[in-house]
Amino acid sequence: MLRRCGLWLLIVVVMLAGCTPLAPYPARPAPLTFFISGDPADEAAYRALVADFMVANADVTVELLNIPSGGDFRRRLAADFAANTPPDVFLLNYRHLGPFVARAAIAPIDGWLERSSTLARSDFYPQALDAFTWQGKLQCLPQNMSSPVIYFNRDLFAAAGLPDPAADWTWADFVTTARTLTRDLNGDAEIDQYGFGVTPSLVRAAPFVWMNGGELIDEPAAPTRLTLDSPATQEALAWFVALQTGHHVVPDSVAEAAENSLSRFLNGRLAMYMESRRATPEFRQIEAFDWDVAPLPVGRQPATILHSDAYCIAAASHHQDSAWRFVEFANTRAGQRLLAQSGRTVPSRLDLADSPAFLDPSARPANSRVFIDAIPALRTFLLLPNWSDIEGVVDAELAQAFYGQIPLEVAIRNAEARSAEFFR
Amino acid sequence: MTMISKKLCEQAVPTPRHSSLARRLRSFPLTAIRPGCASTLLWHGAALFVAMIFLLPLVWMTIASLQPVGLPPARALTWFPAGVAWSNYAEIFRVIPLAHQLGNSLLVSTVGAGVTLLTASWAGFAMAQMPPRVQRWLVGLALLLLLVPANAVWLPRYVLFARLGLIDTYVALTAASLMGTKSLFVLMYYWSFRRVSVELFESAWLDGASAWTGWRRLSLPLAAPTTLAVLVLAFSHYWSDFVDPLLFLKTAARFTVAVGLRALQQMDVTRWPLLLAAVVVMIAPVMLLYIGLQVWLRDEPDFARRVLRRAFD
Repeated sequence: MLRRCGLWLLIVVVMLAGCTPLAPYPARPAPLTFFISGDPADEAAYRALVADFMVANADVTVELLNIPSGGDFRRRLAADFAANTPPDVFLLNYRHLGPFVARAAIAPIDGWLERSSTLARSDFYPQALDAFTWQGKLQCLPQNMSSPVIYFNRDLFAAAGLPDPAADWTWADFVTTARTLTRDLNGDAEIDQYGFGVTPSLVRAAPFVWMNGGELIDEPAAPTRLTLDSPATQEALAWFVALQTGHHVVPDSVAEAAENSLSRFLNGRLAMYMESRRATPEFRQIEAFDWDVAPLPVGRQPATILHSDAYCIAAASHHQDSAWRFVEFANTRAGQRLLAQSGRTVPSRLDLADSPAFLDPSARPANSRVFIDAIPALRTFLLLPNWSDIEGVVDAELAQAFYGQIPLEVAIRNAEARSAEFFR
Repeated sequence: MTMISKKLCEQAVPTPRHSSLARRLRSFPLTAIRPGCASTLLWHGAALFVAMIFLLPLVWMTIASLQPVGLPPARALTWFPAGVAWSNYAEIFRVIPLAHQLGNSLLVSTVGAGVTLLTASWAGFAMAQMPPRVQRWLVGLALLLLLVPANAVWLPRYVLFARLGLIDTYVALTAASLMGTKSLFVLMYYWSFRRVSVELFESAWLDGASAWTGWRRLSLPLAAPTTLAVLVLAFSHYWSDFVDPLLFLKTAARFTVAVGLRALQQMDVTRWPLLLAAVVVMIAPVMLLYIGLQVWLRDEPDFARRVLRRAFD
């Protein structure tokens, strides 16, 4: 009896001991931790970068951790910062930077960049640097930049007798084109081919608001509320929403749920799709039809929105200097070039973006210049502590208005009311 | 309704119950259909229909996992329009370190489920031996614990494990098994141990049996179906756990298969056959465990039916 009891206990003890680390902290200097979020191809590119860095810097070990989805990545970062065990370096979009800078969780990189012998501010597009600047200090070093464009199916354009979109096409041209391309092919009173596909979110609608001379918040220096109800903003949002509710050139909520716009575009049943550079590698696999990119249709003034990720260094990191050496290495011409090979992003370095490395004429889209030409008109969302929350509220309301579930005025009123707490 | 007609049907056609071979045959669906008994047919038809509802997604997943990569997503269920790509199953082991992650998952799930069996059955046994008043309070407490949302404990647990220096170890992943993983498992044991008659224990105590013998020799053998159910549930809990490895592990080499799957999910939709191939590989061990236990359960062929009948009565 006793012997059997002892045996059971032994099994439990062995099982527990098996998963206890014998030496939790190794003697060699702790490695630099570097968090990213991406698919296996992204991860492979960053692994190559890390490997190159460790060859050139034998005294530093970098441990890369890929936390697959963006939402999980931010959850993990929040937990790590709460427990005061943040990664030394991590990649973050400026739209999610607010909570971190507001709590001074990020070590500004101004000083290192000034002293650097290999990098200078003038190497990078100022629009990207501005997006990561908080109270006059550059927080993180932007690695890439992108902006939304119109991907279009050239075969569907040709079949409808339409030329490629002109560089200066207007909102009215855009609606006419989209209406022409929205077709019921078999006469069953159901639309089989849509003219346009877009995610109904603030980040997609914002360029049109700015093009129309509207603003999203009242006072850039000290914002107190959203200004979605100002005439110019409301007019632009109404135009955006009417693409679905009025012109029906975008799939409605049921059609979108049945098959999303991205899948429709890939299958050649949606003529124009609004997306940033990130869709390019996926669209390069399309063999059934020819496609290219066109700029956003022009409003009263040129404007578009920046998408950008940057390398940030945690304020609580114990290896800030080695962390900077890694960030510095990653943003040299060679480092950024390695990451730009995927075709998913536009490099943030002037000497790389506007060069054959990015504008490779043999790779689709043929008209990659559209991304470079949009740079002077780039604008950004403000770096606010609660910006992600504000965006979430507006997205939810805007989507309801876009799919005709509530009137736009109600959506705007709701968004303003629900976002008020995030401005305090 | 079906149950009642089934019972009538059984009374009308007496079945040989003495031979174990006949019992085995009887548990096989087709041989159970007897002439003149339409309700049996109806019963099996309904059972097959329900099984189909659950099987169809698995079949579709397997078919979709064999489509070649790079094609736009299909609109409807299609039978191999572009050929069968067995290579997907080799490719996933190259895209992510799947073999390594499967090994990690197997370790975590085996330890987690094994410890859970011990702790949950101990706790359930202790509960069943307590005075009825205390039992009621403990059941209430266990139900209350079940209502705590999982994401409410992420941060407290993270901070706790960080203080204890357990971050980036498998102890953090399996620590919950020391508490029976979920109070549901404790309750499952409690409910089945409570059915063991008090007289049985009283005579055991009189014979000088210890609490250990009471648990090991009396209660546990009588609760074998519960043990199997808890084993499957606990194993699949640790096997499919995604958030804990994501939060508590720092070294990519220690990641489990659920995190690997999430990485594949980030790929473009044109590469999703790879994701589905990995899902098939991930589901396979749990399916095998389940089928294995089903075969084991056939030593007691009427088990499932008895449980259902009890539920209906």
